[in-house]
Amino acid sequence: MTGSSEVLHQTPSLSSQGALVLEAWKALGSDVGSSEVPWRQDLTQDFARGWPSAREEAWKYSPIAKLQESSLRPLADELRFELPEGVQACRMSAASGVVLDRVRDLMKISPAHRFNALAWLSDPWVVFVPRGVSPQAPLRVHAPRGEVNAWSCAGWLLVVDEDARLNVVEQYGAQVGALSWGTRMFLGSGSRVEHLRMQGAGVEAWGFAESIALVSENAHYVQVQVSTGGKMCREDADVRLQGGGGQAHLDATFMARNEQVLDHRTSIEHEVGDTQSHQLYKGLLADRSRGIFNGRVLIRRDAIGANAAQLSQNLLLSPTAEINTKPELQIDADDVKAAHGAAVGQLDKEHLFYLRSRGISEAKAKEVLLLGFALEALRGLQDAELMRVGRAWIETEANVLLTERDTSLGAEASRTSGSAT
Amino acid sequence: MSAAAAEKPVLLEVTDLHVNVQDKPVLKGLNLVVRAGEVHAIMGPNGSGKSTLSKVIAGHPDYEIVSGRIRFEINFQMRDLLELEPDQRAKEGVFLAFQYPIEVPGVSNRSFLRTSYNAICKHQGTEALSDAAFDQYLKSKMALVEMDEKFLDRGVNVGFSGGEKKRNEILQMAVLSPRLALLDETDSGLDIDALRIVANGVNKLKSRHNAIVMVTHYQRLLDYITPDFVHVLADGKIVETGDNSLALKLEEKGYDWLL
Ligand SMILES: Nc1ncnc2c1ncn2[C@@H]1O[C@H](COP(=O)(O)OP(=O)(O)OP(=O)(O)O)[C@@H](O)[C@H]1O
Ligand SMILES: [Mg+2]
Repeated sequence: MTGSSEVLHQTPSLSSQGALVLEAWKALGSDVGSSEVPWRQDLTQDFARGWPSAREEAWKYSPIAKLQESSLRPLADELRFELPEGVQACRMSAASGVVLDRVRDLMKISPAHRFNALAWLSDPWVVFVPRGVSPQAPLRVHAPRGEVNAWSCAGWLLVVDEDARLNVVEQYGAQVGALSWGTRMFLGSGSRVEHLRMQGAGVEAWGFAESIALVSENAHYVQVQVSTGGKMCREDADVRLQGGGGQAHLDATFMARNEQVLDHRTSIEHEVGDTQSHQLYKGLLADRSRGIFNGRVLIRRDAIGANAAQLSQNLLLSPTAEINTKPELQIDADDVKAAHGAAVGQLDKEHLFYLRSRGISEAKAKEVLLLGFALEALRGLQDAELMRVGRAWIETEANVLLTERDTSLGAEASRTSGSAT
Repeated sequence: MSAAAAEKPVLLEVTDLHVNVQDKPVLKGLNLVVRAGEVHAIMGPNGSGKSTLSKVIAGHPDYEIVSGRIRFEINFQMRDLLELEPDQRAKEGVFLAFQYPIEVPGVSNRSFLRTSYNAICKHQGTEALSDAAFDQYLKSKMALVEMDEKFLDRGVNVGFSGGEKKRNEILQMAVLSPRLALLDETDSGLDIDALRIVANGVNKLKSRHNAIVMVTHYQRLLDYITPDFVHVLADGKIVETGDNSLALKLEEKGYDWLL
């Protein structure tokens, strides 16, 4: 491995975690696959700074102070695939030809979370769907489950060739410790990917996930993020619409309770015109939990006729729950459509009354409405299996949210008017 | 008619009802008696309190009952309806077809209908239907209102046209077969065919055990569903009651002669 020991010498002020990451990197042995990672040299600087600090802009609102004190040991970990028929996989170091070209495009992008670099430097798997292939079954991806005192890092890449289709179900979240999870994909022209991400970390676990999608002309990317677990989990989704007719749906439901913090950052770049993006982020926040949605949309100068819509809707189920929602629209082109909106509230009392007027009890009506609110994030899915899996997950979690508490939600909406005198 | 009517049991009795909305009096001493088997039409100027009356009967929380009472026959006894929660009223057979049906995103029409139907069955002590049996039952009701099945898997009223929403209200009514159906301008915004279909649905529900109260602005509906009584509600009170000929007179002369 060129220069990793040299690197250590160059960074005298290396923080303890930084040293741990470098050590882990060194322990990977030979320089597997990392020559495809153009930013690996910059990492030395990054690692030197250790885990991110709340003083850094991108982390200002993520409560990670505790994490800095932790002594979690970085670990390049393994994931598990269930590959559908017709879909291939190899290590990054074995990629060649067109797949390698795409891998290189994908690896030009520095990780949103620098400590996830370990995943990308440890020769990750590359999944390839050849041209026109469209398997019936979804690709299932199981992330590592975490280890005590460990910070597991894993990631994988997906290259979907022209006119191919793939449905992906990712289930991730450490049960203990922390997990860095990365997914990078390339969608060839005319392809379609439906991508269901289910984050179900353990109550004491940390999570940092990034997803990147490069979308070519006439390709359609649908991401549905369902986040429910963890002490503090952050998701960064980065989508780049690089060809005319390209479309992205980025929808999510997050459900938080107790003192949980669920932090979602999205970035959609319309690099060319005639591209569309739709975002619907739905937060359900109970107890003293906190949700964050930061949605960045960038429409580049030449992206004439781009259309971007973003909506953040949130239900606060307790007076101590909190949501920070912030759109960041940067529009450099003329003649584009960009809309955004954010709503924070309780259950709508007209909705409640409508259901109750049909004989549905107040408690049941709330349950039905909450579930309906959360299920809307599945709107972009066409695949029945993804729909079923996503629905089941949301139903289970919505139930937990309702049965373990109640009373306060939509409280003032529930009383019937005074009695006759 | 009045001699025969007297023998029929009273289903709903509204007595000297005064209702405020945000401290403003809207109903100002309203009286109404509805007997089983009857069809009542309520007409009246915009803003006179027709929807307020329907919503108060259904139990909407926004209205303050200042005085008066509403009684409803439950198990052969007249009971104070105002003591019941909205869902309990529905379980006892009160149904309101909304003037402006609410859109409920994320909740499919099918599961909404099933939840509602099963809740009411449970209350009435009958077994809830299995999903398959309910779908079968639902099919027959869909046919009645000539509604396409694709509406079942969409969110409740979400993206429905004005007329489709009204038809969906009638579907709900058909599924729940209430004893007292309050139809608040269900005929507004319907095309000729839809009006016939909706009227047909209402006529199918009609029996000597239940009653229908229709709020309408148009005589047209009454060509399809003949009311036993036509009331004029103006400024929070019933100011005139007659038979179907009153509706014709209103169509011709408007309300001025009554006010
Ligand atoms: N929730 C409310 N908030 C404020 N004012 C209300 C509310 N509901 C009713 N009102 C007022 O009460 C009065 C009666 O309204 P209502 O809807 O009962 O009239 P209506 O007879 O049904 O009229 P229309 O024929 O136009 O449907 C109106 O002046 C209306 O503005
Ligand atoms: Mg009205």
